Amino acid sequence: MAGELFKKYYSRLAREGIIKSALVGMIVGFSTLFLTSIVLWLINEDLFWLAFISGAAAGAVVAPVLYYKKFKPTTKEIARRVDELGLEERVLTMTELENDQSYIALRQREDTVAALQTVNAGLLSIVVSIPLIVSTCVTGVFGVGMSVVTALSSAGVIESGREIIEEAMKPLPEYFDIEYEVSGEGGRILNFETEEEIPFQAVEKGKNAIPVIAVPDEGYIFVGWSDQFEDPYREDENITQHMTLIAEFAELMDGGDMPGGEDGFPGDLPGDLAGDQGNGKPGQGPGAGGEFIPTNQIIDGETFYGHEYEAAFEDVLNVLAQNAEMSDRLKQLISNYFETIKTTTSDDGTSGSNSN
Amino acid sequence: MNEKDVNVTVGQNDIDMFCKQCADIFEQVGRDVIGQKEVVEGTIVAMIAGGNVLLEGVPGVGKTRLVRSLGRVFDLPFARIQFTPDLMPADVTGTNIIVKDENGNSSFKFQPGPIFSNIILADEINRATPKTQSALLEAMQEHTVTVMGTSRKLEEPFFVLATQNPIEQDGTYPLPEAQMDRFMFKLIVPNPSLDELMQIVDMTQKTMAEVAESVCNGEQLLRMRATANQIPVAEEVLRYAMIMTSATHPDSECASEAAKKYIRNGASPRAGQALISAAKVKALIKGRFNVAFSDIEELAYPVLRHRIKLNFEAIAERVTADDVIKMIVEEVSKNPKYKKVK
Repeated sequence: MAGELFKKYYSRLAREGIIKSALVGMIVGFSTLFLTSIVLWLINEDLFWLAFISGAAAGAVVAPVLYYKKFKPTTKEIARRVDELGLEERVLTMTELENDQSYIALRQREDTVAALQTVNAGLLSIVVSIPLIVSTCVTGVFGVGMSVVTALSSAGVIESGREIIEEAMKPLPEYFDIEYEVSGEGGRILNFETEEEIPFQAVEKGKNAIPVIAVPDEGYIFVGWSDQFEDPYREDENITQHMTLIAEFAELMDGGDMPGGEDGFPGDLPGDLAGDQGNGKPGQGPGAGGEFIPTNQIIDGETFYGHEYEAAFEDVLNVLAQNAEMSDRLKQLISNYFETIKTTTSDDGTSGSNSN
Repeated sequence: MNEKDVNVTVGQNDIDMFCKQCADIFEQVGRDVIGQKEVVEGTIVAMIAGGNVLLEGVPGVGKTRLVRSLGRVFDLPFARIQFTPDLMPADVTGTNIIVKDENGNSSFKFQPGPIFSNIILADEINRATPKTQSALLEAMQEHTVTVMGTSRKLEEPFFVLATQNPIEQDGTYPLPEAQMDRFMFKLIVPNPSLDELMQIVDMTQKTMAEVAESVCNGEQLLRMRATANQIPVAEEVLRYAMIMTSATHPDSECASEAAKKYIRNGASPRAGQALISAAKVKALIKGRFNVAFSDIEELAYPVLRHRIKLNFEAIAERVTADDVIKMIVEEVSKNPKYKKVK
């Protein structure tokens, strides 16, 4: 009896059950698509179509099973839903008393049938929970999104998961510190490119260090590095250990010679050529430093005449630019300069590299 | 007459009689009591379901008049006990007195008290001492009275309709929980509305006496009870009623949030029995042959309000028992899992 009464309600609730089953099936399908796509993306296999097939298969299997196991409307479920239309549990009670032939059960049935006549089956709306719809959308976005990623990876547009993981799994590069120190005072160590002081630098293992140069202060001279390297410019290569490099400078003493001659005489200055006497007196050959004058030092093979001539040179340029009259002091300096050149040329018959 | 003597096979006549009797009872009570529709209905539902009723209200709102009117309508022996602090248990139950026979031999003879009636009006019940209040316990639950070791069965139907005043608490003794639990309903008798007040004054200017006529005797009342008892209750509805009862317990598995916050002790299993018994009667009065969730929700207030013990937090926040029950009903009714059998 209940079956006949519920026919018009059954079709609506069956539709609801089918929709729910389909949605859950889609959730399962999209989840499968997502997981399969992830696996294929990770193993970098060119089988992204397999993800679509597995997702569709999972959804196709789960949806009908769910319908028959869970969402197919039962008599009690229909009764419960129909009662929500204002029948005050009449239908629910009737289904329980279906086999009861007592007078009160018969009256209850009559009462229920009469009440059912007043109810419009169209009011029985299909109810699908919002969380179910949201879950379907979310899994859909993830599933389709991941499958697109896998497809792009297969096409070589983006990196595969394996490549990304391998990249991520690479060990972090090992760095070694090179510390630069100055023994005592007398100079600075500069980054050769930026000309800024460089206290240390971190160099990746096996790579080359940034070139540095040891620059002595005025009145000092670069002697060498702590690792016996003599050139103030250095570019260390293939760094494989931490290093501490100490630049050594020495103060220039009156007479221009360095201490340390084995014979008890002062030693030669760097840049002196062979053949000089090594006794503190000016050398005779090309590149000889001559007698010590603070503004006349040989650094890195070139003679440095000091700031006096540099400043004078600037002043002369200014005078020439302004087409002004030259002062007596400048005239004297220019005269001295040419006198020096003249003297040097007449002494050894060559202007040499010191004539800078 | 004993309740079990009533034939439980319900037929067309029983249903027709129930409907007619109910209509007559409401009509006759309405002649004496103006307004108070919910209280009148609640009292009649409880009487048909076989429960005792506690009526609470300020003086003059018609509590006693309602009970007296019901006594007339049901055509049953009616006794009124005015509870006072010096009332003794024997004054209620009766006692053994020494009598001499014609030979001059003395013997004990039981002199029944006023409780040996069908309808007992326990007026201002909270003015008697707990000892005297307790004299009603056995009568209310088992419908028997034990005096000097001898139990005597009370005539069916038996009801205690008690009244109490919520104000003027000096010199009163709050009813113990055990006795409270034996009342099926606690009904709050409100003040009449303006229109009702006008009708009351108009009516009492003519006569103060009750004018209701007897329309139902004890046998008919028991028959009505048996008929209502046959009303089926779906498993879901039964479970819903039990969840409603259980939700009042702060420690139960389906405790409501309101119970956890405001209740110290929840309702006893008698509350569940009362809910179902009364719901059957209420459904039949409404012309329905099954109990609905809505019946349970409506009856939750009179059934539960005197059975829950509020905690200090509720008292401090001035939350009443009805407020808490409202919260519980809302919480349980909105939870769809409570309306389904697993």
